[in-house]
Amino acid sequence: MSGGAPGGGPGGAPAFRLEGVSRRFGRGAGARAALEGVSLEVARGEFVALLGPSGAGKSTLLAILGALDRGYEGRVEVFGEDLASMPEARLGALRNARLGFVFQAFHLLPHLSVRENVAAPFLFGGEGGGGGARAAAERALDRVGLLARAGDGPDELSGGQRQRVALARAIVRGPEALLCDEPTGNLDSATGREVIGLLASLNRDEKMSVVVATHEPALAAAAGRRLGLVDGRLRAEGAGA
Amino acid sequence: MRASALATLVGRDLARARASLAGAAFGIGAGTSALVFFAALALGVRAVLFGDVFPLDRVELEPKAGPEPGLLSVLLGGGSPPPGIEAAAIERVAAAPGVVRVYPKLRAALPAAAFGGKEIVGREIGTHEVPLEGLDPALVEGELKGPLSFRDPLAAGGPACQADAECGGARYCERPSGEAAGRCSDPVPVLVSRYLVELFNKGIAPAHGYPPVAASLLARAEGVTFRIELGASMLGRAAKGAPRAVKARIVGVSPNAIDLGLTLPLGVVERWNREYAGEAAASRRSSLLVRVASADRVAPLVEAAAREGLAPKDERARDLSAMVNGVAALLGLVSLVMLVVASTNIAFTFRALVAERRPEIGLYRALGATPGDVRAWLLSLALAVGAGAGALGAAVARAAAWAADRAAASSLPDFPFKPETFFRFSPSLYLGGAAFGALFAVAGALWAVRRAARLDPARALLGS
Repeated sequence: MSGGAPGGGPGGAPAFRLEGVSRRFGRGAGARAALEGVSLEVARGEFVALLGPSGAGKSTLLAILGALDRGYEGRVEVFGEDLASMPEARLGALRNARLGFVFQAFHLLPHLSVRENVAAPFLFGGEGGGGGARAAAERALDRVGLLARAGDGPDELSGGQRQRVALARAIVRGPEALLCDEPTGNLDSATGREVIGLLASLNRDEKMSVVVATHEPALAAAAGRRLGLVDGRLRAEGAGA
Repeated sequence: MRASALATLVGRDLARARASLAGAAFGIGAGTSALVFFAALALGVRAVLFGDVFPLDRVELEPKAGPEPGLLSVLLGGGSPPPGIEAAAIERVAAAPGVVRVYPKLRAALPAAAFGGKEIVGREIGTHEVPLEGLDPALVEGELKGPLSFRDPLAAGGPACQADAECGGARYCERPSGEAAGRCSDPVPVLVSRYLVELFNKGIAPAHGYPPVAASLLARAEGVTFRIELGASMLGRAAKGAPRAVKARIVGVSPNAIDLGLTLPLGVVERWNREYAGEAAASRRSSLLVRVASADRVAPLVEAAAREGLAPKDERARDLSAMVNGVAALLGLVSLVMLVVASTNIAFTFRALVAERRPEIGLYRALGATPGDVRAWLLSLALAVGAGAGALGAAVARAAAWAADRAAASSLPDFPFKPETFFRFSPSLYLGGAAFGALFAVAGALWAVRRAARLDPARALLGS
């Protein structure tokens, strides 16, 4: 089954387009298929939730959409460009400027302050980590309501605050799409709701495409479209809020 | 990635992992320190040995020794004519490739004795047999610090005289044998060797109760006149000419002076040889000191000299050079082994560092870092650790050399050519030390860096 977008959305080419994408790990008889013939289109500005049990292939799909995993078969286009033909430097630039990542485990660097964590993408963007990066980091922290904690270390924050810092890091370069892997998975329901609200507002106000892999019904309910993944195949689809 | 961003990453890592990186850097620092120390020692010893004792850019050539004359030849008064180098041969040697300048030498072909020194040691001392040698004054140009010069005092002539009293002051009347009149001359300038000074201080002075000739005393001795008796000595008289005395004065101590004897301007010995041994002994030269552009021009010069019947007077320089090079290479090898061991330590440290930072490396990839950026980051870290350890090692080597020089100055007895320092440091040596440290640190880190650059960011971050 394929997951076609309801519409092309703004900007012409869809944010993501997959055609018959498969991903296998291991070789020979021990090989395991994480994805099997997945075709999918996510329009620009669309909010899509990927649902499914653990091991269904949600994280693998996110890694492929985020140009972190190129060991797939099939065709993957991000903002209209075929990932297979892109050199490493352009892939890096794509991840740096046009995509934002949020992980279940936050992946904040404990030796850096909150501000430095949020500004980290600027180290790889060609601008360096100067004053512009600092100002952008503070704007992003203000957006997630944590500007007052900019000088603190990640260890001084609660789980919900850490995930909001990770979200600030993901949006600091003004990306066109966010890829979130279980962003509320380590949070209680109250802080989870804060993060869901932020994601929804980024999608609504900034017109960012958002793809989340989640078990969380509340988060799935916030998505405009829900796709089910079972044993590496897209099984179900439905419109949300 | 920009250099400033790279510097930010490396700076953060140096601060963050300073304990483990310092441990890994210790070996690099120790190896570099040993390498720089031994290299400076080898350079210093070479500078003394081949700069002062056996200059490598100079060769002294003399006629090859002929066959032994045999008892019958000696009894019959035959044998080979006195060896010497003719002017034409000197010109051909001077024209050989790589030759910068030729300085002729001429041994005195007359018996001589020397007496004086009352002003220095309180009573007249002397030797009834003293070898004399003439030297091209150009060879010692710039060596003499005082007002006295080393040149033939009669080169520009002088007023006629019959006796010393007519000349006044320290001057004397130089009146060759059989001449009706002489010419007033300043005392003949004399150079002595450091070896002769040491011999006097260590052997002669203690035996006779004379004070040693210290540097200050030697300064007093410079300019003091003494007497050289020409044409006769303890061992006999010259075949020609009449014995007579001349005034001389020490004008300095020179590494170019003959070890045992007195060194005079070439023109003076030439005149005296003509007077006491004939024209052949005056016009030929005993040996040639040849300065070449570099040590590697010595071999072709020796070949060219062989065609003139000349051979190096002393081949110890080449033997010593080979020995010093061998010892330096051995010590260098030991240092390199230390660096290789240190490099494996760096390898272990970076392997652990990469394993520990898999999520961080994955995160950087997700934030836009390319595999090249990861390589640049970690190699720069290794470079900084290695270069820092190398520079520190070079500084430690400098401090150790200073301590070694201090210990040598206080515990080693004085000996000829004892240097103020046994080491020679240069900016390139320090830079080389830092570069070696960096090189071995980078080499050690390479494998771990390669793994980090190939790390799968999806697995590191998402576990997919």
